Amino acid sequence: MRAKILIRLKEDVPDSAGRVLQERVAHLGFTDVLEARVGKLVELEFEGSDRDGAINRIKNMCKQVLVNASIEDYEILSVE
Amino acid sequence: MYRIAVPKFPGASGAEDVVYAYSSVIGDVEAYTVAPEAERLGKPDAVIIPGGYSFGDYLRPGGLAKTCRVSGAIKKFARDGGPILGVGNGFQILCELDLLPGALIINYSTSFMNEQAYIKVASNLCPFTKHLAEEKVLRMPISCYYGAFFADPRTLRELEQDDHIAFRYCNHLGDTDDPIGFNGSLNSIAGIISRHGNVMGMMPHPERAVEAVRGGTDGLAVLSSVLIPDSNPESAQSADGPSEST
Repeated sequence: MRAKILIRLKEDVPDSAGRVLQERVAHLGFTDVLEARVGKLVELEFEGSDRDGAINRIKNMCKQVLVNASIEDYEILSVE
Repeated sequence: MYRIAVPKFPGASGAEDVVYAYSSVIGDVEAYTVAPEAERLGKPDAVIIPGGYSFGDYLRPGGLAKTCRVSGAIKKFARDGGPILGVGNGFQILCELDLLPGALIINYSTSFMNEQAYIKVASNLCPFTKHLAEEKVLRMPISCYYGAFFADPRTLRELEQDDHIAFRYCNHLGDTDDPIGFNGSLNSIAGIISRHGNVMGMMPHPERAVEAVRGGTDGLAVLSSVLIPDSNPESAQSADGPSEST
């Protein structure tokens, strides 16, 4: 099983990388981009086929190390 | 002799700077590194968590340091009231360990900042600032990409109300009026103190400001403060023979 977890800064946390990215794509002519946010994608390969167990372990890992809850949110995009 | 433990996380480059500052410049201090998987700190009087990109800043600066066994010993030392200073990446690690509130995010400029910074003492309620006069301006290097302090409004309010802002960025005159500040840190925060006052984190590097030949000696006042008994504040600014811990 492979899991994909998207980690992003919370909406109220300044995203300097996103701000600069928006400025630079506008510089290339993509002026219709009003905002950019930059996050991280974590992929985890699990042994076994216990999907619910894997989701529980992912949540536990997010709480312990993958995510800093004071500035980040996460979303489990897929476990398959 | 006063003992200072310096946990050395994988990839972190700043441990030797801290050991050198205490052992060779300040003197009369036993400063020693502690391995990342050590379960004990070796009965130190204080702990300094150095800067320098533990685990290559992978995932988040300081984020993977909390997987090391020594982090448990650091948390216990903090719970027992021991004085802890985290510098640069050490500050980020202390936030990740929940020993300090908030987090450090990318500088507003999105640039790696490697330059001299001016900071002003905002609170001396901590072992590492207790002998520094409030409003005193210090100059020392900063070297970081994730250097801007962020906290939610409630946490920020509590830090201000409780007088737990240790240092603020300023100009050479001590002014902190710039809304973006030095690097985008909220309220120009360069360092904070924990709820119980024994843990401090700061982004500027006092251990790299201990010799005139390296650009200045203002860091000595911070590093020496923890060594000096409360009854002898006048010698806080001197690096020549700090007193032993009581």
